[in-house]
Amino acid sequence: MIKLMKYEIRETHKFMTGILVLVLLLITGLHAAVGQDGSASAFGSMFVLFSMLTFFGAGLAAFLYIVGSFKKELYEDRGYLTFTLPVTGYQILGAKLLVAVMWFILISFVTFFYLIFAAMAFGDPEINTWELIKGLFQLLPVKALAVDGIFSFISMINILILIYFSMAVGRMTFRNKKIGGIWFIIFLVLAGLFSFGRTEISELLPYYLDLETFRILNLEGIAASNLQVHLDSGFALNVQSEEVVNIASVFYTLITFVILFFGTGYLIEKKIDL
Amino acid sequence: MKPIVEIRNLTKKYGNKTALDGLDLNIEKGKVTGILGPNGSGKTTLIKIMTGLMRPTSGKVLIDGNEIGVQTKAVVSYLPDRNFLYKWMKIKDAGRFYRDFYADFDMDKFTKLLQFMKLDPEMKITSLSKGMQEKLNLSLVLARNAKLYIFDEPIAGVDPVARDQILEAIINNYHPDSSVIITTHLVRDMENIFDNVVFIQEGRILLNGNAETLREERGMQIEELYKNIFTEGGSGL
Repeated sequence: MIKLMKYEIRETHKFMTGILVLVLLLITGLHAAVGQDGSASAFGSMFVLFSMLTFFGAGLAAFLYIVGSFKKELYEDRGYLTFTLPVTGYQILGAKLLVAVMWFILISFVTFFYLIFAAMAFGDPEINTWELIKGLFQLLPVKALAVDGIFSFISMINILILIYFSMAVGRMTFRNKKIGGIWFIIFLVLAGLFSFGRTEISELLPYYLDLETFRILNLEGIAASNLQVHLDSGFALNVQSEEVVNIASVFYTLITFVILFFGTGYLIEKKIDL
Repeated sequence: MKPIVEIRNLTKKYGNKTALDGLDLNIEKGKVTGILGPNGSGKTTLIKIMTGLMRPTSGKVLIDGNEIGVQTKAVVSYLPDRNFLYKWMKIKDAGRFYRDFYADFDMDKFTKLLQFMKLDPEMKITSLSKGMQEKLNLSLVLARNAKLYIFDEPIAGVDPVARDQILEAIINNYHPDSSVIITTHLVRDMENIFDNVVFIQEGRILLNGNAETLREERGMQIEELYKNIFTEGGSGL
């Protein structure tokens, strides 16, 4: 699987590095546009807005590129190479997922640390940026944000595996490549069904784990402790920025991931005709 | 001797269309077998099932005694009829790719084959013509010391010079203990290579036998036999 990952990285690295460089340039440009005193000109304001849109676009492009890499295997001639290699469908899928995870982690971390670096390098020299960041970390609900970040990351990986599964089902069901886009409809339907299932199971088993105290709370407990729950993919953040998660939803998310992973691997291994 | 490929009652359907219809066939070890038939006869479907790119609707295929899977893919060297390599690759990268995945890949043999084909390892895959692409794919496939080589239409769409070079490479470079399967409808150019031939139409075997024996029995070349069979709807059998 390591070798598969090596070639997946070689296939994707130019595009991903391009995305990363674009994001870093925008961060640098943002600092230049805003100015050291924190004020921004009309042009600067527009640049900030444009940059925000580009950040979003860059993230989306990276995600779509990763998705496209799997699509090439199923819908283009590349499959003739990959699916005749002496490796299993699970190894092919695992390699693609791990490389996707690697890219998302790398881009997130480099962007995060460059943001800190840029603040220190371009900020007001009168201000001790390091102290400011430390202060911010004390002020912000860092633990809650970190947990939320991890859960968002898990949600994204789940969306990715659901897309892969939808593509595999689409390819298996419709041999005609011209209607290859059918996978997107399959994806929308499955995403709706899984989301409905998650909501149902959270309502059926309304038990939450408080990540601050590791106590299990029911809805009354949450109400009594004046916590406001926002359900997001089975995970929740309360108004005091303490984290509570619906236990059944977490298991539901993990189980669906395992089912989708093995389901996609099985379809590649046993069902898909190129 | 146990055959390298055993096919039992193999059927493949695409919806209502039957591509392979209860096929039974043994491919002998150490022989070159030509699978001959017009377009749409089921040749490529048969090859795709043997290489693990397609699943049979029913029936069984064994290669070297194993069902199609990772084990069989490790001993089958397959030349598809299309460009399947990564676009970012140079020729040398393609060689490294094969070395990484196939234990039987011989890099020295690959280098010699490239020299024979007059291909520069520094060339980009995307810059190759159809004939050069075919030569590269063939060099990759032949550089493996595989138990079974499968060539799907190896000379289709290439110029006569490249065609001769490709045929020469196949004759001189496949491992002598190995078996070779070649599908083609260009029978004239290839008939001298074949030890055995299988005539296939509408997913069924019309005729199967030793090429030399068939020539003697029928008093004609394989190409003439091909024309007889397929232009007269099988009446030339």
